[in-house]
Amino acid sequence: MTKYVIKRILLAFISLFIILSLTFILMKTLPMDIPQGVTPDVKLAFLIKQSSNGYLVYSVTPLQGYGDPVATVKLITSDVTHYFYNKPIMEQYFSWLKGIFTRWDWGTSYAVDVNKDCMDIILSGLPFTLKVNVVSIILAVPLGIILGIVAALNKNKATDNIISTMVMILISVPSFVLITFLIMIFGYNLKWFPTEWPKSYATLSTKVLGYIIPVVALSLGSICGYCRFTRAELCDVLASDYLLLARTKGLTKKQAVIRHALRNAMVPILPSILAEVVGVLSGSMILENLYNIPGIGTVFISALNMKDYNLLMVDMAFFTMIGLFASIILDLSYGFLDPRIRMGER
Amino acid sequence: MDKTYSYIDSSNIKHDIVLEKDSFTLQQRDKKIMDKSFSSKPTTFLKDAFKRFAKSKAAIISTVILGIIILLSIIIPIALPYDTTGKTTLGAQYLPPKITEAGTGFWDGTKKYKDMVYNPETKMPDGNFDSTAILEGSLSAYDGFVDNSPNKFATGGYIRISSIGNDEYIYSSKNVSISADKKLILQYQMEENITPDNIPLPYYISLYKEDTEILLHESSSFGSFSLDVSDKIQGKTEEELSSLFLKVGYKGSNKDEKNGIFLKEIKISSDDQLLDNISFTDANKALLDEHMRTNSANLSGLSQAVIKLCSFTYDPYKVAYGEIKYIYSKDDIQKFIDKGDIKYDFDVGPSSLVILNDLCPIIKIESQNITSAAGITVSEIVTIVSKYKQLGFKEMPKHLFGTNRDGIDMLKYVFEGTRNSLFLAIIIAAICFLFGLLFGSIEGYFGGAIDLFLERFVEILSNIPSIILITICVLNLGQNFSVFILAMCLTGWIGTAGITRTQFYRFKKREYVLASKSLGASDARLIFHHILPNSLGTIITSSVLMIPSVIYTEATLSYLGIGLAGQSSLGNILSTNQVNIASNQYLLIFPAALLAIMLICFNLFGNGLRDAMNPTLKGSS
Repeated sequence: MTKYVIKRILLAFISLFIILSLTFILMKTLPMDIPQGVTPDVKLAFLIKQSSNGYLVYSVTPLQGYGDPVATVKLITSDVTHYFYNKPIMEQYFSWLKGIFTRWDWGTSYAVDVNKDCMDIILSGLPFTLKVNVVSIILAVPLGIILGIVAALNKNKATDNIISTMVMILISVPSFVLITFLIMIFGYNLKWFPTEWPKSYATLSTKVLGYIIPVVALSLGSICGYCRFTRAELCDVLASDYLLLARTKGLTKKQAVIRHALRNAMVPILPSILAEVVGVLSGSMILENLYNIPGIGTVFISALNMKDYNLLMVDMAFFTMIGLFASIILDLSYGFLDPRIRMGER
Repeated sequence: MDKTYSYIDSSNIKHDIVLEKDSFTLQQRDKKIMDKSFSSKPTTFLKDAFKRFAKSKAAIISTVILGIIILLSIIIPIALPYDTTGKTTLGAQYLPPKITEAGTGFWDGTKKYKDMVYNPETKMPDGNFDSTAILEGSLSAYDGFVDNSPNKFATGGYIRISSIGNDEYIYSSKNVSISADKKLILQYQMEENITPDNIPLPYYISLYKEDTEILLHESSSFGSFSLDVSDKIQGKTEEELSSLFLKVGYKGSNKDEKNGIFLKEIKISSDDQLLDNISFTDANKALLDEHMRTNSANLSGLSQAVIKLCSFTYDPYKVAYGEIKYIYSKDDIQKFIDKGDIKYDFDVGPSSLVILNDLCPIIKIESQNITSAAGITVSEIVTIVSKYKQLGFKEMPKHLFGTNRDGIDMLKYVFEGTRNSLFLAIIIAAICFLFGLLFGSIEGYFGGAIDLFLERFVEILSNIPSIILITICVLNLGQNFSVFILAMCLTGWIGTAGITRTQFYRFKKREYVLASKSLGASDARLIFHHILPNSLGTIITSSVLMIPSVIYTEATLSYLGIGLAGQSSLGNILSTNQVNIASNQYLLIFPAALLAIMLICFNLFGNGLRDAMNPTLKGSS
């Protein structure tokens, strides 16, 4: 088992490395922007930092052999013109790797929040994403599983049909359509809940109410997912031979379901919950954007719209990392729960 | 003829067997065969699947709805005469959905306005409203309050001094000079908690100029006060007491909490003479005249001023397409006459108008004014025209889904978007299906080293979040239709390839494949004639389910701003209309509902298809 775990983690790091390297090189082929609409000294500070981190060549005289300068800055107070040239992409790539491994420096933002460390911007958005998503998981997991159990135990009866139909409908509707309708109905028309994420100075009650719309929009999808998953698994188990044996041995239906059926049905469900707990870190970009939650999804969108490629790169790295580790946890926990299963093993 | 056969047994003795013709008799010569041949034709896999599909009600209903949506998305963009480029539709912006005549109250293209400022002089809502478009009897005025900006029709109210900013205060725009020997009386009314969100703060009232500030009063209690503050100015020089401004501010620096103090009136009098310049009794008037100002740039600070408000139902269609006054020149009218639309005699005047063609926009001519001077004719013919006829419509347009901010008919626009989304999704699904099939077949059929190598390739590709791959693609290659298809196809085929691979592994070791192989069938024949037909059901189902997922992804990308550019799609429409969520919700309701219905139907259809193709999978998801 230990060998398997180590192997999986190592493989994940290799994939992460390849993906990030490819992403970095592809991002660097895009024309880099320099900070716009800021004072020249801020711009200069950014460019000098970029040069000292090894992305640009800095000179006070024009240089040959580097093509056109990325930027030229001339401060009003001095006569010196500062020239900045792009280094070759591969050289930038190694500077980038060096920066990450030696200084944990993932790059500097140049449009969303000029001269701020990209990792800091992501980390400052993370608590908001976490709060909303954790609440929605806490709501979704038990509710989804209970609904799934109810549906499975009443298979092909009216209850099951109603639950299954609702699940079918809600799972097909994208969460951004859901939140749009929720904001429209409960925010603007009925005025029960705030129409956007409450500002920091809002009262406690407004802050609490502000959770409801995004949490409901986020959790409805997961509730349906868990419900469908639990129902399918439990139906399988309920039809199995060992459950028949349990019943013939004299267990009541309740005992058989709780002691035998549920335990086995949970084997594939628990890992998916664990994976989702890790997955929440990445949040839901559009949902955050539509409800003005200042989380990392919103950071991604503003970085994309403002063409802040440095920040975009870190955001992408973050999402990739989360995705990879969520899938590892999913596969590994299968093995822990049921030692017969070795996901990814041949 | 007799035949002789011989064989040698284990002890090397030869035996002969002679077969004589007579020892054989025909078993069945002139007898009738009682077995019946099949009266029905043998069923095929697809026919069987269709039979199962037809049994599922949900699948049938969803197929019908999908069919209707697809049909509408083809017909409507062709059939409707409206322009969706937004170039010729000015004046028809934000028309609400209309299906019945105005006044029925249901989907009638009217807009209900509430809490609009009422102008008591004209007995009309204040603002840019056409009086003829207000539905008769729907206008009702009532008393209300106005906040923030002062209004010329409002009276009273409070000035709010909020503490959101740093050091917020209000000050008088004019100043006074007072003499130290006179009695100074300060009267004011300060209220707390006008609105429940606000918590009061301690405040101060002072007289100030550039370098001096005379504190008159400091308190944190609320209500009406009348105080003698003569002692505060005693002993001050005349210089110090000249040109003084009034200042009222809050104390404290609790910036996180949204607080404010509310000043209703303030009167400062000196020996029974009211110091008008720095006093006010009507907060609204004081702010309107800029008698009092707040130092904060973003808050004008009025709270709860009394005003007459009104509610009414407005018919914007009347403004956009109804009858309006329009001034034509003589030449324009002559063109109508030449076309044979109207008969008109310029010498007789307005009464001579005869309308010959119903489609002619002119309804009535009110007056004409033709003057000639120095060889130049200036003509001004005031007519009443029907605007929709002028725009070239045969009858008053009814926008079933309303119009957007460019005046584009949403019904046409939404279905155009649906068509584009579907077209895109089908192309992408087809490409991914074909490539995935090829890739998966090669992997599954050949297995071994090829499979191992190709699987690693798939693994790396599928580990990159698709949103990132698409983002990089669009950023690098530009934002257009083909780049979008390429970006979506980059990872889209992985699912199909995976399923194909599994199916191939499942079938390639079956006996019928082995039999065919031993008879000398080629690889291509084995793949396309034996293995593929058996696994096609599963693969097709997964490809059909790809269509809704492409539509979904396209909508997601549109929200991120990297979706289809320059072409309407459901996602595009939804994301651009998101700004109208508060004011014109119909702009979101229709496309969102259509998207939801379409995705639900696609999923039901796909599930039905899966159940029909693989009855063993029925019920599982």
